[in-house]
Amino acid sequence: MDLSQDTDDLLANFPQWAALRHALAENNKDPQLWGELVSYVEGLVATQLNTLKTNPQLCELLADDFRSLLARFPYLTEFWKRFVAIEYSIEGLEGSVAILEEAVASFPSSCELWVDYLNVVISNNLKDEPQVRDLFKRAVAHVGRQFLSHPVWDLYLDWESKHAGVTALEYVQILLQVVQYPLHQYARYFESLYEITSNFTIEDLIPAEKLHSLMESSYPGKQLQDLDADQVKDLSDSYFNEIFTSCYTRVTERWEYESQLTKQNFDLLPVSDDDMARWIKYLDFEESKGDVEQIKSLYERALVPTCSYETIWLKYLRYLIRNSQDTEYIVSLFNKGCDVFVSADQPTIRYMYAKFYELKLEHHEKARQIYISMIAAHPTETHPIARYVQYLCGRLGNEHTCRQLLRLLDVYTEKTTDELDADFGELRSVLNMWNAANLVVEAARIQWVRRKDVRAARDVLFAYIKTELVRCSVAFWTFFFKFELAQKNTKNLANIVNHVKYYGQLPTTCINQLLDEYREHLFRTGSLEQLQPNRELVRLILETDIESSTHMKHFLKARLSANRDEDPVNKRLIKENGHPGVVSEYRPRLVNPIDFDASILAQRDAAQMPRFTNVERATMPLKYLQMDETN
Amino acid sequence: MSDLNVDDLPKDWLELSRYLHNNAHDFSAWEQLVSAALKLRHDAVSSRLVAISYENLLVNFPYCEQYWCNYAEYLFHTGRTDEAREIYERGVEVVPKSMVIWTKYLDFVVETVHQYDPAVAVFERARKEVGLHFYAHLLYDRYLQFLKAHRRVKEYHYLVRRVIEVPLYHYSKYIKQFFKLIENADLDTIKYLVTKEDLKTVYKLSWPDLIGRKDDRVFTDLKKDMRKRYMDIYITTQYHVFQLWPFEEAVTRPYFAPDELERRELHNWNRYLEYCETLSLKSSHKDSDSAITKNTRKLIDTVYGRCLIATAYYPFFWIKYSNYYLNLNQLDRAKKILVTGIYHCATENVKLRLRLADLEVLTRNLSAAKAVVVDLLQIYPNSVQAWLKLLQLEHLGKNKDLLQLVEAKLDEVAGTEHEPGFDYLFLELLSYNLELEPFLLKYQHKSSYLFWKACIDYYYLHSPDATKLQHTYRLALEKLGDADRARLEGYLDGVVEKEYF
Repeated sequence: MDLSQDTDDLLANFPQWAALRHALAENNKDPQLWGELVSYVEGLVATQLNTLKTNPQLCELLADDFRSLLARFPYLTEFWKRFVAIEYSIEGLEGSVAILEEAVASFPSSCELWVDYLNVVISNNLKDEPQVRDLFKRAVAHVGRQFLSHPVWDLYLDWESKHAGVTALEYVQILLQVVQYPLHQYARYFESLYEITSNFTIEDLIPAEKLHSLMESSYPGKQLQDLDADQVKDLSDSYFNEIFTSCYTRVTERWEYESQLTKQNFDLLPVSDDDMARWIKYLDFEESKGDVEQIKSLYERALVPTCSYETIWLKYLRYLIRNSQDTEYIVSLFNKGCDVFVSADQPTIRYMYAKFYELKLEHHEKARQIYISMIAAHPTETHPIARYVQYLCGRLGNEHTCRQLLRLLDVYTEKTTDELDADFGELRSVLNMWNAANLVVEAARIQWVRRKDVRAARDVLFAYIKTELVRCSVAFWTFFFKFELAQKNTKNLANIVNHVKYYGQLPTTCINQLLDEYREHLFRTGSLEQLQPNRELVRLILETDIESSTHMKHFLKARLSANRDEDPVNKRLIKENGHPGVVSEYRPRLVNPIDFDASILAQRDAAQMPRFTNVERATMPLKYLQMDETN
Repeated sequence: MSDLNVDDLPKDWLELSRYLHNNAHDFSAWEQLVSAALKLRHDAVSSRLVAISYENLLVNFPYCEQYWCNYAEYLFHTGRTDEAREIYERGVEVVPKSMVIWTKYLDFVVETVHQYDPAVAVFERARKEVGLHFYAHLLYDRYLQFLKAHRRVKEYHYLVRRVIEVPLYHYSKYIKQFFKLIENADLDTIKYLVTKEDLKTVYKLSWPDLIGRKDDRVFTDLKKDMRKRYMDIYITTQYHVFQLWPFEEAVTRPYFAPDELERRELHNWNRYLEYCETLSLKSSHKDSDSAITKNTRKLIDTVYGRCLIATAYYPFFWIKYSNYYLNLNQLDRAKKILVTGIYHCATENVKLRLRLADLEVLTRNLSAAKAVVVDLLQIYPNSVQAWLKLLQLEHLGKNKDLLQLVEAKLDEVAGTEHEPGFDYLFLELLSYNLELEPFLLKYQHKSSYLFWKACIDYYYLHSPDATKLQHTYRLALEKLGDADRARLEGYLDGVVEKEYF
């Protein structure tokens, strides 16, 4: 949403409009705010139409806002309709038809939008007969199999009855098509068909191939012209009865699922697990029936309310990859899912896309692009790199990949200036201080779990233990720790823990988790003799307890100090005691208090004269740490 | 109760006690029981019932300070002074930092003990226990009054001199008293205020210099100077009182009650304790025998003791207190605190017990550690956490039949709601140095993620074997549900062979 100074100037006379736009820029997924904005604009259209008409910049801004919403969420039927209405008021018919065309192009599985579009086209005579017929054919191809698609069919039949007439072949062919589909209103179409069948020959009604096989089974050896009128009628009746029965069964079967669907339209609210489960159940049923076009149609419908979740996308794509050769369609579907609908925090569909390129199309450059873009989009996460390395291992072999990863690390740390090939060069381009250490982990992982070479894995890890690269990498240290834990190598675990607890620049929770696991490991694998009450074990207990006071966390204190010495941190704790962030350096203190436990009854002499420190400075002002910074 | 005949007992008391037999945590019912007993006509039976009621209430709620006092007072008023004393003694043993019990006890002592020596001994004990309590004026007023009554001038001086060092709510009252003592000092009492050495080094005087010069300038100057010097103690003590006051002010329920405390209150205690502990970080506290260290530790103990009276139901503070002693490397003290904590936190004590077991291990007391865990398992027989600890201990005890032990437990919980939780044991066993393969093979019928993850990890990480891993992976996919299968597929993506589409 454009929030530049220019637009603010433009909206100077419409403060509410400007305010709503600013609110939406903060939260562009709030259906209520969008509703308010559109209602506001509708109000403007109703009251200040001339102002809008004379100011093309305002109209453009308005249209841009609508387009940005509908590009991000193309399935908001209601907003399309309101956009059309507003555009009609401002720009007139032509503008509104253009929007409707856009609408059916972006949301082709919307029966409602098709009906609107077709109605406008027909009632205003915008197109000639063959064009309208084509448009109807497009519409029914997209939505004609939807359970509640009768408005489109009715419109189509009505139009054709007026143009070609009910006795025309064009008209009956529509009916012959519609009765094949399990629709809610299927019975009506059968009635209409029965009413007019007498106007047509049996060749008009039954496809030649089908007719031929019917003849074969009912009147073997005879020709059609050999039959009398009754026999022909029997033939036709039994044919349509069969279709009717099958349609009836299919509708009844589907009714069970259709009647339970509570969420069929898209809105900006979450989809409940129940709704999701209902769709999945229905889809499973439809898949089991095996009618490819019907399955596709249902998926297209299901993907309207659930388009923001990858669940049904994944299911649909898996179905298509298994059952369809139309790779172009699959790729377009992947693109639609990844680019428009599924949010970036749902990575599975992206990885599936990459796998599809890798395994089905063997198009490695595309696969790599997807992996690399995933790493770039999630610069601090470990998983995208792991997936890419898995992919590389599969293609280039474990040994080669491992070697190249280490070479890449040398390039990254500027040890060498070797040229890298595209696979690793592009990886280099998306590395940063957070994820570079993952390459060490991945190289070690290849050695450990793929090549089963524990020693080589350990060599890789050890080579980097003291480098800047891994110092603040949670992935590196937890992997190294888990690796040695699996090897039950207590000595190395101790080394890792020692390093991490004093030098690790990791989150405290992460370090404490390692310390906890290490302590558990000692208790599980040590002997009673090794578990002496040594200071170290006690400190491990103190360090990770939430109950412990700060000053008992010795490793934390050591980490906070430059030379691993707790004293400076202790001093700071004392200075800020009672008021973290506020330093009072000079607290008055009695230097020679009387031993409280010494009995008064046994006291022989008067107490010593008290001696003090800092009494004269008791009233010195406090120092606020933040003040230091600004000064 | 064997010598009491059930038929002689009043009905409402009997009903309450029956109810309490199964509902020992219902505090108000206990209170009703006591008052029901107190309402009875005084006779031998009723006095037994009162004693039974009080005793049992105090077993269940030992930190109810007032009930100790009520009990003792009841005994005292019925003429059983010795028994009353015994109850006070028990009270201050169980709740040593209770100002309520101590003050009542001291009043009782003043009333019943007329010799100086035994009485002052109790005062001294009280001073050592609760003398650093922020509201210890309740003690000191009584103590000073007592000394005055017994004309113990020397001790009186010594006591005031000590009290002025303590940060108390009423700190200024005692400073004033001390200044008055200086003011009124004569040749006899000046000795209680200044030592011979100080007189010599600070004032270049000796006792003979003062004799006969009571009204002369030397004496007045001495007093004036002393007053000036002791002004600093006023400033210092006041400073510390001001430091403590925000914490003290925020304590709204300093006594025990069976209901929960507000978060703010808990937070305040935690901050108060950390404040006091941080005082002992000073480098001057390195020597643990110095008075300054000892006094600070005493203050910390006092605040912990007071805090725990109010927060006895919160394991947090018991662990914190125990950790305080762990940090001082006093493991036995730490253990004792945990034991007390376990007594008070009757239901929420898993962490306390597990920690106690760990400390027993660290002090090479394996059998004690086992006893702790076995106890815990009696309360929560299906606590996985407790079981994991038991495994550790059995392993430490070189139990060769660890797997049989696990097997028995797994058989026991098979088919129950606890089975999925206990499948974690398979993963846990991977961390031990054990030959697991035959054991894992026995349970291939299981359908939990935890079990199959353990099997997979065994062949994947612990004892790598690609063929067996692939085989196990296939088996696991057959057994697992959709969500778990997806988890496992994600876990082993790229490691095992699988179909993608």
